[in-house]
Amino acid sequence: MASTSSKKNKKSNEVTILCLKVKSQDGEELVYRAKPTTKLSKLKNDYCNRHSLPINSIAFLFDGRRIHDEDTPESLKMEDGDEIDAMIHQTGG
Amino acid sequence: MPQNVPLIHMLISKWDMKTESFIIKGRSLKFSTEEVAILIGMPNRGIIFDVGSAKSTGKTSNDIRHDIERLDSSTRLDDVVKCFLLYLLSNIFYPMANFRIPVSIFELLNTPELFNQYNWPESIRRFLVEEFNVVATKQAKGLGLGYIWFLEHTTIHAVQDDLSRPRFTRWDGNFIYTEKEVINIFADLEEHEILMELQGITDAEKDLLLHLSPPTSPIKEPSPNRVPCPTTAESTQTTPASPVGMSSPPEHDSPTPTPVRPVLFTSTSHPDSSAQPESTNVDDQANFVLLNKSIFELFNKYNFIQKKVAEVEATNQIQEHRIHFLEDSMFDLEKENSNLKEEIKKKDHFLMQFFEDQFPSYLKNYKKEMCAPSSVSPTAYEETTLSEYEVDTSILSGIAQRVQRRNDRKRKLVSTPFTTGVRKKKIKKKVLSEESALVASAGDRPDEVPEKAAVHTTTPASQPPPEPTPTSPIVIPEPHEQEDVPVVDQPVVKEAVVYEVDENIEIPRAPAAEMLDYPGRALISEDKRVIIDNALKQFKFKNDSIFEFGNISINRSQLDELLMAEELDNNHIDAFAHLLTQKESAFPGRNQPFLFVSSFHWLYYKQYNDSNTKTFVSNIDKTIIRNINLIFVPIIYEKYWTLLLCNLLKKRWEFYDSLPKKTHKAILPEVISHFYKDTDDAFDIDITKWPIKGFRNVPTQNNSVDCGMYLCKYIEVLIQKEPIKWYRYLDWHSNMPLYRAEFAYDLLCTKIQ
Repeated sequence: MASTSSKKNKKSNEVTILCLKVKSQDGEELVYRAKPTTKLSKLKNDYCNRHSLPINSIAFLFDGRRIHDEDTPESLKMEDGDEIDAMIHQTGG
Repeated sequence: MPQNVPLIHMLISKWDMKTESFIIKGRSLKFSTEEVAILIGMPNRGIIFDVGSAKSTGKTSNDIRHDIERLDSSTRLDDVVKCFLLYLLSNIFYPMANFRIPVSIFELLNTPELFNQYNWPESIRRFLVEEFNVVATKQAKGLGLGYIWFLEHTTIHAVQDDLSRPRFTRWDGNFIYTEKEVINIFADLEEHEILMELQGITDAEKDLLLHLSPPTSPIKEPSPNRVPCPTTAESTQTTPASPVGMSSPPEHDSPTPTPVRPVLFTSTSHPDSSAQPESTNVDDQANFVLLNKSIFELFNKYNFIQKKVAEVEATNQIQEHRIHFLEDSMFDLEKENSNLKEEIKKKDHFLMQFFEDQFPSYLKNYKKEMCAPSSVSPTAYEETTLSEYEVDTSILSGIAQRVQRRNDRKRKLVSTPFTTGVRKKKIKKKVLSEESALVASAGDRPDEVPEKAAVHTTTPASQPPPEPTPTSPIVIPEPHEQEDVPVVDQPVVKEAVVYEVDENIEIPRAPAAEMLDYPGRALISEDKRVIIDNALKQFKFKNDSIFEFGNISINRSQLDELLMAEELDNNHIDAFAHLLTQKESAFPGRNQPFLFVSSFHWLYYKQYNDSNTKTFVSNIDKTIIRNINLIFVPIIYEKYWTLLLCNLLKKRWEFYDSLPKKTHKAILPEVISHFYKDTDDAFDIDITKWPIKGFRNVPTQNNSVDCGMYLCKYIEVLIQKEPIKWYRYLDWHSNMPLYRAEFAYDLLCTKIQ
């Protein structure tokens, strides 16, 4: 599902819509188009829905920091093509 | 107690005050404490209870018997105990000639738990001896146990039940002798019928007697039991409810030879006190021990009460804090509420303004249609949503045009104020695949005629849209964001699978249980339980955030996991360590300085096989390492938590495993080298070379869910300065629900603060 090629070809004037890659631990990547002001929690929600995961079971990490529900690409200074890690919380007993 | 009066009457006449014994047919039978002890089956030690010459109360022993008969299963056990004690004391131990109950007995009943500290045999013996002395000359009285004692020492009346204990229950009350018979009994009493020891005494009892006071006369073999005396006499008033099944005290129909004397106790000194030096000695010792014990108990109680008072005070303070907090938050909420209202008003106003500017004609239509001023805000919302996707029909053709016409038709259908909800739903079902992206982001959109504004539901749905929520709050679109994207770009996007993030999707909020009966609920203290219960009510949805710090995030669902004894995840572990660090910083120097490596560090590395994990340990540098003794590295591997500890003082690694297994150690070299790789500039020496020490004597879990909690508790113990004695913590497994609840409480406290 990689879409790196498509992003590279994008024209530079498309600044307001960002393409963000969400990377899961098995290497799978999903590409999302989002406005800089879109709350990333919406993205996370959609991601969880697609993977049938409970929303609390994963953390979106950007540069090793957890993405909070209120964060937007703008507030985190994300750029087009940035990667988000979808880390699944691991339980143990 | 039956008052075999004539028998007693005759017996009393044989009483010798000087030796405190009965002289029957020339034989002296001592009336000793030990024998009374065996009769009533109670130990010969403790405090002497003096029934005293205190005032009598209005209650008679008959009343008490009737009280007992009235008891049923609904009576509280305490009351039952009291009633029976009263019965025992009033009807059996201390029967009074006037059938009145002395005040001292009622006083005793207030503290039934002290009943055991009295020396009943000695007390009764003293009472009886005193009574015998008083009565011997006056010839009266019914003295219950006295005549039992007589029966024990003769064979004239057969035992009903050989094995019945205490001994005074061995006779039923179905015999009462008349005066004549009694005289005959004593006259006919043959020597072999007088026993020097109790009838049918067992060896054990004999030993007991011998041990306490050696018998003064040779033991005589008991002769075969004689046929019981005729029980034809007035065997009246048997009380089935009385514990010994004896007949009730005769009140009128039995021949009482002497009138009832109201005053029983003159304050004569106890003539027997010197008669039994041995037993009193024993008593003194026993009393001393008893006294010591009760002093110790009192001391304990005092300490306990003090503790309780301190606790109550502490809880009080906490509650006060909470009230303050709640008041504050109320105030905040009110403020927020009014702010929100204002904001909504402003936005409404802005929207209306916007529409008036942009679509004056539509607004007119719309106003005509709606003509309900109250519905302004929801409809305004719709309109804005529409406007975002309005499309120039000129650029559409084929399917798009048809779809648009269809939508147009639909719009007309649903434009009543009562169908707004349905319409909203439709609006939100917007799914943007390649083609819709093309449509949505198509530039050069001239302002549209209002009827064409509803094109947004186009799109062949290639991706199922997430479930929309009909009751979403008002979402205000930012018109400036509808920036132009040249149409020519779109074909490029088509090649990749790109998911559009829909702004309007409301994140579904799954409700969580308002009330949880978690296992630790019964164990945790009252105030904490209230806080947790309230929090469970307050955080109604599973993704309500309870605790957030750095990468750690605990939501309501994770709180439930914690409480309901489920497995813990890395957020729990980090949160616990964070709370512990907070606590330690409040009291620096109390425990060893330590450092906790976030469990994300290892987990991220393991999940992504990515060595770029320095951000998780960026806080570790040379100065920190110099100031701490312990570094805790939590490890999760194959769904199991273990704890690795870098002991900087002892220069070794320590490994704590709550479910000991050799294979758990296999991962350690990788953990250590990974940790060292990311932090090597903080260490002066190569810590990867340090030995790893395992511990066998640590407390271990007895289920498959608590390892995370054990890890937390290990940390809590390991930071202590004192040498650790693990055997003290072997009861952890039974307290885990409590620790979990306390952990949850601590988490909630941070939220409250």
